[in-house]
Amino acid sequence: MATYEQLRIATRTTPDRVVLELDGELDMVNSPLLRDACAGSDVAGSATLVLDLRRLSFIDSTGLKAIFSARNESRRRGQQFAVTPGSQQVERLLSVTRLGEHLRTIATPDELLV
Amino acid sequence: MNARPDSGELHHEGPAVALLVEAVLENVAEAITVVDASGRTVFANRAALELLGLESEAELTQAEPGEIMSRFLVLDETGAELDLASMPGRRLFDGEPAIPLLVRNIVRATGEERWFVVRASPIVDPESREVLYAANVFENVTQVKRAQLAEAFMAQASRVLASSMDYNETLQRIARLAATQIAECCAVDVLGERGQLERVAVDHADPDKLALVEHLDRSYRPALDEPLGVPEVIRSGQAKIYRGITDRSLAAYARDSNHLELLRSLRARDVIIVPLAAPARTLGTITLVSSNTGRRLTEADLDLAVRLGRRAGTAVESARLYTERAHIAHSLQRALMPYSLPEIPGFELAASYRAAGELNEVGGDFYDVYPSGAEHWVLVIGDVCGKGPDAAGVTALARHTLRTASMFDPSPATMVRTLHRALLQQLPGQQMCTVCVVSVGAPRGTATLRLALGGHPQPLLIDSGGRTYAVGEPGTALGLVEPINVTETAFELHPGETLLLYTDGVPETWRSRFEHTSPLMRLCEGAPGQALSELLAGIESAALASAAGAPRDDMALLGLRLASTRAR
Repeated sequence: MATYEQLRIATRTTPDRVVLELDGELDMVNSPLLRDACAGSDVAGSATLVLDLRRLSFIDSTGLKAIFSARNESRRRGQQFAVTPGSQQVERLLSVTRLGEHLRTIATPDELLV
Repeated sequence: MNARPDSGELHHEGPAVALLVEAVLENVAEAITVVDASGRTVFANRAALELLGLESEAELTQAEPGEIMSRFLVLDETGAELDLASMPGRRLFDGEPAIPLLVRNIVRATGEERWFVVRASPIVDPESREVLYAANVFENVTQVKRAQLAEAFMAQASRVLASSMDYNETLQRIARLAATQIAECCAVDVLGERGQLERVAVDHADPDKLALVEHLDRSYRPALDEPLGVPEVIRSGQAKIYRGITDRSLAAYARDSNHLELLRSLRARDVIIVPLAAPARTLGTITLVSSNTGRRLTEADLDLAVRLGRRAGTAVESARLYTERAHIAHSLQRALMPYSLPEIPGFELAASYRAAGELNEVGGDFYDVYPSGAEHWVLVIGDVCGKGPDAAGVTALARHTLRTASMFDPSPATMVRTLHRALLQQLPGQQMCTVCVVSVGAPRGTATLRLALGGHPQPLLIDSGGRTYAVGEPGTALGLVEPINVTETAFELHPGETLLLYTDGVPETWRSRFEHTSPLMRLCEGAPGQALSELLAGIESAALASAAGAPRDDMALLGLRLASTRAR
């Protein structure tokens, strides 16, 4: 049986944004963790939400859905929303599903959003 | 007054000390005996007389050595009969150390069971150093030992019950445990689906008696409306203990003289019947029977049996629910797939499907193949996000929406867009689904296929040399974002060429090796020499092996091959 890597989410707050750093795998089992992290009060109060996917090694369709739920919720609150590129597998799935085209992607989490 | 040593050793320091010693010995809770080298008991305190079941010292002093002990069955911890020579007191006379011994003692006349720790110390002649007497101390540890055995039994029973979801097998193992550790016979009866009693497990320590018990059940299985015994416990949900069953009560219970004879030959003395209790209902009963050769069943045994009945009942109920769920999942899964693949003239068609995880989970992958108008067929493969009943609902929606859409417009891209609108309308932004839709026309030398993708991996075209090409334009996954981008692609399939549709779960099994589709492509190299079903089976088993038998996602494969001209 494959060893299922877990997901750790760290929240980093800067004056202009909240960055959620996703480390590990985002799948059916642990995508509720992302939903919970997005529901935090520090996230809601910020002008911008960035999901930092640079340490995300794997994602499945449930994980994609969780990212888009975060995006939709963020838009509803009037926030800006962006992601950083993930692993090869994450990028491949974003491109196969063409969902990457619907996400604003920045190279580093602190890059200016204009 | 009790029997006392007739030589002066015990009170050589004077009568005052002797009286004091005697007073002390009379008041200790432990049974104490003093035995001489011939085996005759020369002293026993009050507790010892009680232990031996004697009224007075006279009974003891008048008894032949060994006569008193013959009233008891003396066993070691494993249940083997103990040789009296191995008792600590006897060993002292043989010049051996007296190691404390745990003894199980059954009063033959009553079946009462007791546990003792027996210790002995020598009374030695000061001059000759000869052992004159052995002083035995019997510490009654029955309560402690029973509690210990009950816990050990429950632990064993719990392990057995947790070992398998096949409750017929686990209950049989429970019956065996109980028939060796609590009573001589254990039977488990459950209420069947039509409200009748069914014997699901039985065991007896004596194989001959087991045949008798089975015969009794076959010939005289109680009807549910009978006033006593198993039916009574099933109705009331209350445990029952019948101690000291008399011939009269057997006669009252028996239906006829043959029944009475069978019951008599069972030689039952005590019977315990407890409910096989699930949280909300009584599923059946566990019956324990001790015969008049074994130990008596006590209130402590009743408590233990009640615990066993609850534990086993909960396990049986879980097993039933599990089996039921697996059945529902299986039926649902079957309803989401075509029962059989249609024949497409000139083509070979094969499919394989494997849901990940436990057998009671409905997968999110699906496929479908159906005719759409004359000489026209549609192939669909898809992946609904998630698993279980929610995913199954979306799968059904997707499958039927596509079927209906193809009746109005058989263009794959239109079908994909129709499904996207249906998902957005019915489950806005909540469900995501990827599909690959292929339409196939009747072959005229070659076949023209049209293909549209909605977030699904590109299928592979395998040519007659085993080379693979990803076909189709990537399209947006459905149900999540607007607008979607879906392109329809047309391509030719030549004789001997194969189109392989798959879900992400297949290549994903190789992802840990930093490869994605390349192992799949390598497997496809052998396609030209293989029947299509062989190719699919080979891919599935390689993917399974790569995931060490436990893939984390469902895997679906659908293959279409245009028969080579020679074969036709």
